[in-house]
Amino acid sequence: MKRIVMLWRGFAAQLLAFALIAVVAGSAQPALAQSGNPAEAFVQQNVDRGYQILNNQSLSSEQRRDQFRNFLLNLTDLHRIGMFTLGQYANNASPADLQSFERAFEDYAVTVYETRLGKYNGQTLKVTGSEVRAPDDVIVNAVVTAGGGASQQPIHVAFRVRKTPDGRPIITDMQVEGIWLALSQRSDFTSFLQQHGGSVSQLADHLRTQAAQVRGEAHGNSVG
Amino acid sequence: MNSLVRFNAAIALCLVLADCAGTTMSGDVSDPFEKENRVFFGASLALDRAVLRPAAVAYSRGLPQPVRDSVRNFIDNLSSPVVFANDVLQGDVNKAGVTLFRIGVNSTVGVGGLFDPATRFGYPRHSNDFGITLGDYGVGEGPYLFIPVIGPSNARDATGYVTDWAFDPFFYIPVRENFYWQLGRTTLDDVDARSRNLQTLDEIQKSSLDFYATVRSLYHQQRESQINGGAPTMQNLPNF
Repeated sequence: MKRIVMLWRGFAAQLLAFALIAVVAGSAQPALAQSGNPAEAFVQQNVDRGYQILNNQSLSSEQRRDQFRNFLLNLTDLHRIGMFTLGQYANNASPADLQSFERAFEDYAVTVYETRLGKYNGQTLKVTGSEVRAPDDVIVNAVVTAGGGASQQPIHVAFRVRKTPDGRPIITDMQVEGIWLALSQRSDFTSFLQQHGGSVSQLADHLRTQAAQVRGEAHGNSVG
Repeated sequence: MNSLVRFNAAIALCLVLADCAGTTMSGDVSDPFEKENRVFFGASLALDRAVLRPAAVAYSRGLPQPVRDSVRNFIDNLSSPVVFANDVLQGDVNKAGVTLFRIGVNSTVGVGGLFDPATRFGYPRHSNDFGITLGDYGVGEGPYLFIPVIGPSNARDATGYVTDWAFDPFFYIPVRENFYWQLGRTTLDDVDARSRNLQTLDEIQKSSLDFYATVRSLYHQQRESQINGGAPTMQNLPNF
């Protein structure tokens, strides 16, 4: 039975991955961020910014969505992540299908993150350090302290910060308690593709439907 | 101790062979029994919807948070001897010391484990089990297994799961009483754990295209990270 308990905890960790950008960074430690790798300050500052957008009550929900979309597209390399999640199936897909998938994936990612992130308040994220895998590949470690019950323990998270061709830092993956988001998504998508004859266009259709569903539910919740 | 080491070596060998036997690769996880696993997974989901989830909802609505926290503390304290045994087997003196301290303090000052003063003293809980110990010894995970009632596992962790019973002092309660004790403990453990993740699980299921594959990946990654001591898995990251 312990397996189930641990798995449920893993789920909690996984969901919190989506919540990271919405974290309250009130207790950010500027001294630490300045002394470490520049990628550390990059993560801490952007977590702050994401939270500000999602909590800016002076924006209409459409404005907030637009700002958050632009923010996320600037901060994360959704093209790189999307191609990675297709695994080997990216090789045999037509350029048109890939383009259609890329748009669908972008919309799906922004919608899912925005909806989930809006639900998390009262958490603090502190960057604790970083490990350099290569000059353009840094893992930034952080700890999220969630509000709530007495038994809440700090959650260990990490961001993988790489560089764009023009040298700008960009996030390509997030990890929470050992679970990488892009890796999990690849497993999900390639399994779908395996069962649908490797059709990337079917996957894109499915993502579009799912994003619409999530948007519908979020809208329903906010109205009710 | 010697016989235990021999026993471990035998398990290691059998798992290495099992690992070699796994031929179907799904992502990074070997899943040669996918067809059977999916059947058990579907049945478990149905059971969850019919029994576990409603019980967890009633439990979290019916009991205030402090009571539920005490339930969690109590259950965690009961499993501490197993954690301690594995801390020792992994040769981690610091972790073993923390666990021993926690058992002592929480069982006394913490009123039989209902409270967790040890965490307040700066000694938070960590989990450990024989699956992690085997992984620490270098044993591969073997084929993925979704076991009815128990949940996601693999050849290594299932072996660890059974072995951990031997480290549990409560396992040595006479058989008749043991059945009811274990049933009560396990039920409480599951209902409490499920109640803490009601929304989380719903949302992950909603955003998954293939929930089975998502669970398989989450489980695999989480275990790798635990074996790695909680540090981000740096070496095996795909280059993208």
